[in-house]
Amino acid sequence: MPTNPEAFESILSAAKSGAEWAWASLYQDLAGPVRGYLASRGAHEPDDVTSEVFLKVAGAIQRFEGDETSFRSWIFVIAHRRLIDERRRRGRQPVITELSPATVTDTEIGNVEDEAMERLSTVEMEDMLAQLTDTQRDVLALRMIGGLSLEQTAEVMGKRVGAVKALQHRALASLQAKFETEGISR
Amino acid sequence: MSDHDVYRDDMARDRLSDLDVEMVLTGGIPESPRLARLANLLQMAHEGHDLTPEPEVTARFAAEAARIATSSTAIGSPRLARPRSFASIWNRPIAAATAGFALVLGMSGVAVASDSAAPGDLLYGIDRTLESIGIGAGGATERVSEASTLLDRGQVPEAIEHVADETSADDVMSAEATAALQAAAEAVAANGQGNTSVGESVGAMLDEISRMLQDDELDGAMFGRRVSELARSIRDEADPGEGSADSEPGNQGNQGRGQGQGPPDEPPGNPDQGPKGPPDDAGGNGPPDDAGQAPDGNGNAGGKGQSEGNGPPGGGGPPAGNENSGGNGQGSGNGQGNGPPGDPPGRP
Repeated sequence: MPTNPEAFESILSAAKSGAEWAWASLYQDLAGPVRGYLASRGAHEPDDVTSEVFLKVAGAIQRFEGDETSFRSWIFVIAHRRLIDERRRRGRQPVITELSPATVTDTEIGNVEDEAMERLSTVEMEDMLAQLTDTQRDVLALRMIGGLSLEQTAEVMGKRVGAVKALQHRALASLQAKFETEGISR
Repeated sequence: MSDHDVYRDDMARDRLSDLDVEMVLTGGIPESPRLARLANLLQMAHEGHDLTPEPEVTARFAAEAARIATSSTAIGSPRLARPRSFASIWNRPIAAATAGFALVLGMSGVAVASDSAAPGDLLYGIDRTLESIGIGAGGATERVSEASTLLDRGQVPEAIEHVADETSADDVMSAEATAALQAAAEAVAANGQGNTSVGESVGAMLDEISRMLQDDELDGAMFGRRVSELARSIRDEADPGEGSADSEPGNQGNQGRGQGQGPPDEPPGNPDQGPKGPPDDAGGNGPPDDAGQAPDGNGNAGGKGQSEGNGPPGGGGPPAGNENSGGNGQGSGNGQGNGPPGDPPGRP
């Protein structure tokens, strides 16, 4: 996404006029994070839902007024809604997140806790994340994959900034505590 | 979570500074070495999902989006009824006819008037057709609102049936809940007409359903169970003789009355939050995603006409200072058409 307001304004204006290059620009910049958010939170068909989200944006773009930050938030509001709808239709909470094939590359070993963390596999990471609440995981995904600020995340989730701040604190604290527990138990 | 877990988490949270948390979540390096490892793993766990779309996918989307964006101007920015299939709204004769009708009469007036219509009203058919092409609120929330209108008119069983039929069509309501609602409607139609208490219970149920539709932490199973409970309670109230063993006689429906209408953590009048709008389907909280309204409340809900002459600066090319991002875009020289192929799109 452009970093200066004038550039975004130009792209937005061109998108409203039907310029394909403007839509390509917006899609190229934002489809990845949106798709990533949906996939990480268990959307059944994240690619399809991503297309759905962006086409919805295209249908309503004429009524959008705002800056780049607002635009990004708006797209994630739609994506988040789609996710909530899908969860409700499925009648259950989201499935286990697919994690990327992460490997621990940091070889510095200083103490027992570090060693424990070195041994942590992606499967264990998945297990740890699975123990967080859905809301906590939504916050982490919106912030880390969606690239949203604390304030944007609060807007997307329809929560107060303070509530989101508490959620992310608790999520990380819970993960860190589990790390430490893992280290002691091994 | 056990008390020990809560205590352990609280201890850990106490050690996390706001700055460190922000560092972890934004890809920075937190001060705490232990947290830095966690940040590293979390980052790796999440980053694999962010896949840049293929150029041909982007180009295909851009062409479709550009067409939709300009088409939407003509009929007042419709929502996409079936975006996944890229279905053209103009291929549907009824929708197109209605859109044309709306154009003749003035889009906004018709949409606004018909959007509040309930079943039986002259404009209700128009309302549903407009919704089908993406204009108007639509979705489960509006169906519940329509049911409330019916209830206010004294059409109690019709109100229950409306919720049962319409929301089940949207997959919002489970089969069990739909059946319970239909049973309640039948019981009220047969025995409960004119019973003020039943009417109040139905109102309470509609309030409760509205509240649950706003609750993004409530899963479908819980939603269905709760609706089923409320519906059975109404059925039993209307026709005590039909009570079943799995339902508690009484007035559970009234539980919904007086409860908060918004999410529990949403303070009324919080200036940090944008205006609340109805969710488009069965969605959660926050601004309506189909209103084109910025979540911070800066969006122009009233809609704006299409910008004329919106070509990028520089006479048809992309914004000045752009670097070519792959050549899948085209310069836009005016408010409608694209510039000639080959104009470098790029981004700043």
